[in-house]
This record gives sequence, C-alpha cells and structure tokens, in this order.
Amino acid sequence: MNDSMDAQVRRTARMSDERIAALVGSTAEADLMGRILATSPANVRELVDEPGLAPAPSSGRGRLRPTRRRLVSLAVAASVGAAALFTVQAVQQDEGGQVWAAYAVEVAEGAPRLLVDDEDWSVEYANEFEPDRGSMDFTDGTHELWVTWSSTWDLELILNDRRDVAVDEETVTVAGQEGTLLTYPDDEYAVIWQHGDNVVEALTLGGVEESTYRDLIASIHTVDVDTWLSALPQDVVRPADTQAVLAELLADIPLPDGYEITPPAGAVTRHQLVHNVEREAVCAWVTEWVRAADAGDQAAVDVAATALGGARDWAVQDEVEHRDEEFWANIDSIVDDGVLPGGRELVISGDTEVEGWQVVFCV
Amino acid sequence: MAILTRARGQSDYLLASRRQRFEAMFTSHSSAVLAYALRRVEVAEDAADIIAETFLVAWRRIDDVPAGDEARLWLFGVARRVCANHSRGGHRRTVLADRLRGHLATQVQETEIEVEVDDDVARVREAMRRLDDGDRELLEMTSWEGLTPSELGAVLAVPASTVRSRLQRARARFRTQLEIVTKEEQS
Repeated sequence: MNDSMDAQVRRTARMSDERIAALVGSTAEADLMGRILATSPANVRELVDEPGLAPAPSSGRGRLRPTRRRLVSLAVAASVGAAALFTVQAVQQDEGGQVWAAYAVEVAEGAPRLLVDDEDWSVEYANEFEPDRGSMDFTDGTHELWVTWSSTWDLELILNDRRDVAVDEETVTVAGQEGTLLTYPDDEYAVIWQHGDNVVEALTLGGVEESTYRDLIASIHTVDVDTWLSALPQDVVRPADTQAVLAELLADIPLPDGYEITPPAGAVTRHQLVHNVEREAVCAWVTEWVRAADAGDQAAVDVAATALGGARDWAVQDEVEHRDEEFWANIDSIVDDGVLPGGRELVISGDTEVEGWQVVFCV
Repeated sequence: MAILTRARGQSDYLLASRRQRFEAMFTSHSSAVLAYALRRVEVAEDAADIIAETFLVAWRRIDDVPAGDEARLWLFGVARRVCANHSRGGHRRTVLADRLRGHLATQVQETEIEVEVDDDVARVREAMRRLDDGDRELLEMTSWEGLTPSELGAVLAVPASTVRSRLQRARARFRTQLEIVTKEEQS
C-alpha cells in the first residue's frame, strides 16, 4: 500500500496508536497471562470456542490423523443411548463384581492407578490411555491436580528439566514412594517420583496453599484395578469398539472410492473420534475434488462436489463443534463456484509446507 | 534455556517448558494482540475477552505455535477469527479477563478524548465501509498492523502472491469508492 493510502486508512481506526500505547502493557495484561497459565489445558476447551485454526497438517491420506496427545474433555456418556457399548466400563456386573474389558485391564495394570483419598476430589478428565502412559485431572471444584505418568520417561531427565524452573525442592513420601517435591513460582508445586515402571508427575495448577498441596500429596494412594477403573470417566472408546463407532459415525457419510478411515491406536474419546472422522471425510472429498479437477475428470468433480454439498447434513455434524460460517462458505465456494479456497500454492503450516487448500480443509 | 534445547521425545508432558514458551510468547506479543483487538471492537473492554480467548487457544495449542515472530502472525490469525465470532454475536465473557476488562474500561474513561473526525476521515471511513469484508481486512491489517503481504499470507493462510493480487484489487476498489463518496458529497 502506498504511504498516502496507508495513512488514510490508519486514521480510520477506532482508536489511535497513541491511545492504544497507553492501554497496553499493563499489570492487568500480565495478570491475564497468570490466569491462563493457571488453567489446565484440559479446561481450555470448555472456556473457549476455538476458531478454525490450522494445526499441523494431516500426515497422509487414508489414515485417521493422529490426535495430539493432550487432555480432552469427556462428554457425558449417559447421554448417548448406545454409549455402554463403546466405553471403558464394566462389560458385566453381577454379585461377583465387575468384569472389565481386557484392554482396560491391560491399561490399568500398566498404570500406577493413583487416586486421591479425599471425598471432595474426583477425576474430572482423563487422557488417551495407553499401557505405557496416561494422564488424569483431579479436581475438588476449586483446585486441580494434574497427574501424568509414563513408563518411557527417565526420572533424572524429567527432574533435571523441571529443576530449571523450580525455585526449591525437597524429598517427600508419596503413595509409599520417595518423591521430589518441586516448588515453582506462583505457589505451584509438583511431585515427581518413580512408581514401579512409571515415572509420575503430580502437578497442581493455579495458586494453592502449600499446606493444601502437602495434604493432597499425602492422600495420593495406589488402588486396585477395579477401584481405579471405576473412578475413570466413562466415555473412553475401547480399541475393540472403535470400528463399531466409526461405522456408526460414517453411516451417512460417503467416502471416495477406495478411501478408508483407519481407527487410531489406543483408547480415545467419542468426542475425538467424531471430530477426526468429520475432518477426515471433508479432507478426503476436497482432495478427491482437486485430483479430479487436475485430471479433467468432470464426472468425478461432480461426485466430489455433491458429497461436499451434503456435508452439512451429515449426522455427525450434530456433535461437531467449531464449524463456522467461514468454513461453510469455503465448502460452498467449491460446490457452487468451483473455486478452491486457499489455492494451490505452497504455504507453511506449522513446520510443514503444504498447498493452501490443505490448510483450509485438511488440518 | 535448557528446556527448550532438550532432545525431543523424552516426554509429551513437559509442562514446565510449555509454560516457559507460553510466557515468552505472551510477554512478546500480548500487547500487539491487544492493540489488534482494540482497533476492532466497539467497546474497548471487549478487547480483554478477545485477547483472553486468543491466548487460551495458544495455551491449549502451544505445541502448534511457531517460534519467534511467526508466533505473532499465528496469534493474529487466531485473533481475527475470535474477532469474527465476536462480531457475529458469538462473544462470551471469560472471568479470566475480568481484571484486564476493568483496566481497559477505567483507562478509557479516564483518558476519554473527544476525537475530532474531520471530513477526510469521514470520507475514508465511508469508502472503507463500502468495501467487502475481505478487502477491508487486507487494507486494515496492512495499515493498522503494518503487515507485509508475506506476513498477511501467514495470518490468512493463503499464499503471499494471492495476498498481493487481492491487495491490488482492494486498493483499486478503495480508490474507486473514495472517488464515489467524494463526488456524492460534492453533488
């Protein structure tokens, strides 16, 4: 833009640069940073309607994009009529007690199976459990305790990493084991310890009284498989059930010939599956549209456009969040105008070079 | 910082290092994001929610946020969508931003200045108002945030060459509208 036009437009801003300069950089701004950091990543999904931003691109066609390993909000399984079929829960319950799915037991046996022995505390979130790692978020409604573990971690590496930011440390006993209590700035604490094959980190998020944290750590204990599985949220999809869930989600979603969505390894939530399947299906059809357009195959272009035109009506959309008007305008651009949003030129998305349209539809 | 240079793959949950990265990003770019929001909201304190939502997304997706100044562009990309939701009525307040909202409200009141809008500004505003959203956004981000076409491309997730051509067309349409507005005033 030439300088004259630039200056003209600059003056149309609601607030001048001078006034903005007086408003930014306040302690209130820094306060916001602290408040956000005190928010568990697990809770962010609940706090913010995340706009359609591009994460790292899909690693390839025909494979369900691996979900980033992170805490996820677990929906209430009871609201889904057939949820019992898909959840990690007792597959049988009688006077003899609960019988758990083999995979759930495998996960439980590999986990440190920690719970907080305080009736005010419960498990609020759980991550994608795998036999060698997992994560849980405990809360009493005010405070949070984020417990993560992995049998692949090296205790000394983890400790040395955390020591860079810790301001103090001491040896404590937690769940019958010797652990290292690290004190971070802003009244945050973590205990890290070796628990059988696993290294465990129990980190409190947000300002907590030291005495409260010490009481909490003292109440952490190991429980048996039944007790631990019973305490988990009940919306985790077992690997054995993912095909059935996929089939249910894909019941009214067409896919290009030969295209298959492969379920991810490990246990995931229905919430994750829903979003991954919808995103994968849209990406598959746009990819097919691009391929057909390149090949001059008008019939295939029409098939892809028809499929994309019906995407609004896929039943899965009832469970999908964050598809905004901009997204549907981009779909309409292909369907109605034959114009590919994002274009074909290479752009950087994350640390990968992809074509512009892939950023719009496939990540 | 040793944490940032460690070999990857030891852990998916190095929260401490994520915190450091987030803090560095927030410290470097929060004012730019707040300024971006302040230029676009009708009520200054609403900018507090824009910046809060933007950085909540960044916190949740800290592993996706690029390093260095590219983080600023990534944040603008989020902020523009948050602003779009805001303008569509999708705005919701978060308690996290309470203090900043109060600060903005107070400061704006205390420094309330009667801004004189001369005829030239009024004409330019009217010409801008007549542009479509895409053109207007390009011109505003070029002028207000001082972004280059390459940077705009990163924010909008489109190739820089596409931005350049769009920008040329936007400039032309702006000039046309400005001429029309001026003629309308004269007639």
